[in-house]
Amino acid sequence: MTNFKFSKSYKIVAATMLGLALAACGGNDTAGVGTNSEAAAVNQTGWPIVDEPITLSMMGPHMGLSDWSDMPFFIELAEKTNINFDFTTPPTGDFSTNLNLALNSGQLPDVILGAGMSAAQQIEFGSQGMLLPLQDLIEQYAPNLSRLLAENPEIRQNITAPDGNIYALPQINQSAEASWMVQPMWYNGTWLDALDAEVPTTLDEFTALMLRFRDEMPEIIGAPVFPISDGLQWVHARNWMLSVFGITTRAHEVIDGTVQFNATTDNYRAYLEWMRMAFEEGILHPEIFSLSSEQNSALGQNNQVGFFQSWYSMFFLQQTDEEGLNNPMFRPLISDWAPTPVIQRAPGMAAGTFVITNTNPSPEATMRWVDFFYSEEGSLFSFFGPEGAYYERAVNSQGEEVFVVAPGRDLTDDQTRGVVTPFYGFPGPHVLQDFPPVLPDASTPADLTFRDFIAQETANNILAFGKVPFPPTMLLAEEADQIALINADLNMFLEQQEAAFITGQQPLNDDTWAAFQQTLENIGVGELVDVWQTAFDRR
Amino acid sequence: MVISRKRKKYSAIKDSPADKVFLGFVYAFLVGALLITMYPLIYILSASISDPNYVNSGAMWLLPKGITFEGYRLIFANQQIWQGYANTIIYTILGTAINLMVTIPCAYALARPEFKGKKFFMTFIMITMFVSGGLIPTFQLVVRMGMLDTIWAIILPGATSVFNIVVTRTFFQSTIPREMEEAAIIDGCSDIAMFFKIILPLSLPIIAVMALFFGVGHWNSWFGALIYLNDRTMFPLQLILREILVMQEMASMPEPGTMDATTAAFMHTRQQLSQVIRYGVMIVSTLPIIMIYPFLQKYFVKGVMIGSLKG
Repeated sequence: MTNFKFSKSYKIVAATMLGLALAACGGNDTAGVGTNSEAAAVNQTGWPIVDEPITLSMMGPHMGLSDWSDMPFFIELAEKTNINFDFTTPPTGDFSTNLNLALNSGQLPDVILGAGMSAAQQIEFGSQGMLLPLQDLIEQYAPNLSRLLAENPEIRQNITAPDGNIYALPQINQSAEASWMVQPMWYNGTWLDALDAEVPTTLDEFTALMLRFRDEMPEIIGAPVFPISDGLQWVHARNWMLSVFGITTRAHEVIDGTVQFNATTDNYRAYLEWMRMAFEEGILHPEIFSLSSEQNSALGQNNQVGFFQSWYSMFFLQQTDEEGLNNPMFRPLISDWAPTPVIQRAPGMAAGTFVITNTNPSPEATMRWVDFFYSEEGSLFSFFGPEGAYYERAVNSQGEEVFVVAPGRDLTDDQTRGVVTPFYGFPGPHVLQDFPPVLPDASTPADLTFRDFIAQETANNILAFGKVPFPPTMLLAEEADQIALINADLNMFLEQQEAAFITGQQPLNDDTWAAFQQTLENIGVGELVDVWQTAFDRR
Repeated sequence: MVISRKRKKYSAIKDSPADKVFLGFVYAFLVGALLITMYPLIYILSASISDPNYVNSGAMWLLPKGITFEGYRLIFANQQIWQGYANTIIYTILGTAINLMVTIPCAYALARPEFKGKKFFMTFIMITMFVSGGLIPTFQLVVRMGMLDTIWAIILPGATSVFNIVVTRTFFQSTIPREMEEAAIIDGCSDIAMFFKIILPLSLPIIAVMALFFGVGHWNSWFGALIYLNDRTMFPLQLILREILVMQEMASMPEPGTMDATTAAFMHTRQQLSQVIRYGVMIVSTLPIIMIYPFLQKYFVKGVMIGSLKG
């Protein structure tokens, strides 16, 4: 044997065989995420939910503030309910990527909180059996949610898929801002004061005010002035102006049970003509369709804008809350096209916030767990976390019970609540209300002026005239595909065409309008309306 | 510059007017290219210490305006960024080392003509360059091999880059003369000794190039960490920065009808924060790479056959 010399080929073959052998005996087959335990007996009412502690796996978006396993919310809830969780929390900015990966690769968690699943995803994965149908579980194990659905039948319609199953639970929004479809529009209060002007109620008054802004404000401010400006390329602000002309959106809207596509209406033409006039007169920012949000913020900070879109006006103008009280909200205007003002309002719910997957060993226990957040006490718990974590109860000088900030928590830091509970920064499965304010201490009176201001403005301007343009409806897969196909071309065309008409690149007269309508037909607007009508009638 | 130096050394002939004009154009072009390249760097440097208001409105275009170090102060106070830095350095060094250990020997073996089965292995490897399983099969593979949520998920899946192997192989074939290898073999050199004592010292340029490619790739990578890592203490720098900066965009497009007041305020705060630190973050994350490059540059410029076969 000592003289046997391995020739080169033998060496190579041996090396290859070794490599293949190593590759073949791969690592152990790790099971899916989370541990499995047998379905424990579920208590129908009261806590704990299960007598023996169980562990489920949960996936949710991480807001960058605190790990979910450290949150007092989960710690206390685990003790009370006997349900523990193993968490997978990808960063919220890329959560949809990880969610898609989990769904498509079969690495399913038992529960997804804050999933933000679209209707299409629910239908696709629900029909494959990866998401459990929840309607029976809701009936048997979720009394709070059942009650809310009975009170609001439209919500049940909105979350039921065409095959009759409910795959995901909604967030039910009952707060003052629940009716906001997008951020509202505001008038710059200091400008109104400088010109001693009133909030306009008709379109003519509005136009006159904008012209006054354009003419008189540059001197007062000492800088170039843009009466109307927007940092989101007018995409979200458009619907507020459309409402002046009697339509709540540029796309499909249901009026008295019939679906119409608003870009084909004469109301839309009137809107375009007014916007064209506004652009020529210098009321609109010359680059309103391409301005970036940072550039727009800079204008706002320098007080160069008179009418703008923002969540709260003082965010845009960089003011304090008190100064923000001076900025009135946009009031729907009366015009020839809208003798009674109409404005878009949100349906008051967000869908796809919570799903239970088919790997979950205890769906009944999970449903009881999540149903808690739809109760009064649970809604408060979900928002603020357990008592003592973010807030404590105290009695003030009038003998009333108030909430004060817990020791060690910073009331001035908006983000502190996100350290205590996961229901922060995304719609979760709970009821969202106007919660009582948390005070620095029991003797400080609650300053509800700003909150009341918002509630008042919303009631006057949005709730009084609000209408949901088209209720959230879940579509069949073929319908969704068809709509996506048409919308891809349609939206691009509409964006370009609107910008061209408004900036004057293309003149707006009967001929060009007819050509515009014809192109819309060619792209498939008629089909689109039919599909939406079918979906609406099916509800 | 090379042209005139040569002229001065070897020739006493004066430049003709045409040559002078040509030289003028060359210098003008070079200065233009320099300005175009330098301007973004100066802009970012200035923007990182300027008031974001001036930056956004366009009032700051070259030199800093409204000088504030708030951005840097916030960055240095952020613990997550420092942890991300440490993680990225570890991943880069470890990852590059593994990459080099895989690429160089493989390329050398494929470059030796007497390697039996060279064609087979080359084809085998090339196929993987064109055909890949895609994201989901790769993800499942990583999970089943038990690498999920470990450092190996970041380093191992990308350990082999076929393109780089081919480049290195070409380098070995074209710049290391066959005669030298033959001379060594005649003198009784074994393969292992040849590789370590002769080939490696001569391949410093390609090692430098590959180290730079792999190093920069690891430094900038975030997607692997995003999908494979769950433990936030293992996140690399780019992922942390991405989190901070993506918040800026999210804040601009709020979800309709679902936000409560505190979430809106949170988004707003995050947006303000990211505006202040965005340029500082760019500087902080690319500075190490910029500082390393000059040390490797000499290998690109000096030429390859440093101190080898003479004559």
